[in-house]
Amino acid sequence: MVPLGGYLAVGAILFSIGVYGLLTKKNGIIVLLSIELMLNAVNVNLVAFSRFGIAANITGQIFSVFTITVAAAEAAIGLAILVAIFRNKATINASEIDIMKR
Amino acid sequence: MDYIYSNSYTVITIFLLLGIILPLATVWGVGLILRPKNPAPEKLTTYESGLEPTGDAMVQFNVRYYIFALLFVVFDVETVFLYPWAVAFDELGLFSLIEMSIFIFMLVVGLVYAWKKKVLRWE
Amino acid sequence: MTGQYLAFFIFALMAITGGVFMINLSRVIHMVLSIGLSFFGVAGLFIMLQAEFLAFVQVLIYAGAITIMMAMGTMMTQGGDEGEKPKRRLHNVLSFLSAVLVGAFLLYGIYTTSWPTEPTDLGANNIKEIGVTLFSNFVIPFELASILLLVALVGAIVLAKRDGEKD
Repeated sequence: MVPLGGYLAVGAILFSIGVYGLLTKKNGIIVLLSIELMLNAVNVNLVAFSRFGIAANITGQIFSVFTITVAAAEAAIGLAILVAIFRNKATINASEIDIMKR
Repeated sequence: MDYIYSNSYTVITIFLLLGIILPLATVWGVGLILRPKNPAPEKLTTYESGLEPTGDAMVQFNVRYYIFALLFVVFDVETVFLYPWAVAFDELGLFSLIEMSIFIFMLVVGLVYAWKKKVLRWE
Repeated sequence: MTGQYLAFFIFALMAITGGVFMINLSRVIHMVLSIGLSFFGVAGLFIMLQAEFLAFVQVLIYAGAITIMMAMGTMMTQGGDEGEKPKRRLHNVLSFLSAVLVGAFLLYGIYTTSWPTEPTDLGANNIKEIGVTLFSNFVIPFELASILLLVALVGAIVLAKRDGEKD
């Protein structure tokens, strides 16, 4: 049986990859995907604790279902915002969307 | 219980390995020996139902495709909630039917909105 | 039980390589497809944690719907500049350091804590249990999820629909 620490370590590594992608990537779609990766890492932790935790029960899996639902809604809205930005500025490069800085 | 659980996944793993190995063996193993070899430059072009492929594959997509993908995602999420509801319906009773009716009603409102906005029409 | 360790290793490797490829590949569409590999790896980890329903949901929504939607988004929003023009070296180094720090901090915490080692048996076929708990204890979050989906649908249509088109 793989111990709990293994799953948590995978979750932590995925989360830091997501943090790095979120901070460095300029394409808006990749930034959204990095957020999805971080949410995925959180899901791994939730499901791992729903099996190994002190009061382990099925609630962790149900919480993950809701996380996935929110992630789907977030991806849909994020992509719609990117499409709208692309229509107005012809780019989704995050470093060029700086109209509020000026 | 745990024994049966991991045992069934052993069977799945064997099937997965067979599913990977068999096509590879057909294409690069037996096929390499049996098939005739007659390379021609036309054979390397992209197959587009008999038409000559023109231009780059990465063309600008219409935003209309996105609306359909969006509707697909929303009803995909609905399936995720419908499935455990249907499995557990015996123990839940009538109240869960009302819950699920409200849920589906909300999504149908969204579908009707999309319909009224004429985003489902392709013109 | 070495088979379990092997499976865990393969799935964890899939998840992490997908993420690393997403960082390092150069074309956006390849990045989107490599993150799909990562989602499949996480689904495998869910199966190892006796969460088969969630593995199915993961493949259905993440690997199926979100990856495809992002690939279509890539095709809709390209054109103009593909390449990364200005190299912000200091910014990249600082981002890398912060990501490594976050990861090291989490891994240190995981390593030094003594976790409960005995797994709870959630049952091999726990979809029914999920359904019963979801529709008796989590009714309000469930209905809120439907409202969230409705708002996301309407909002995305409003945002993505062309302004000039009169209906």
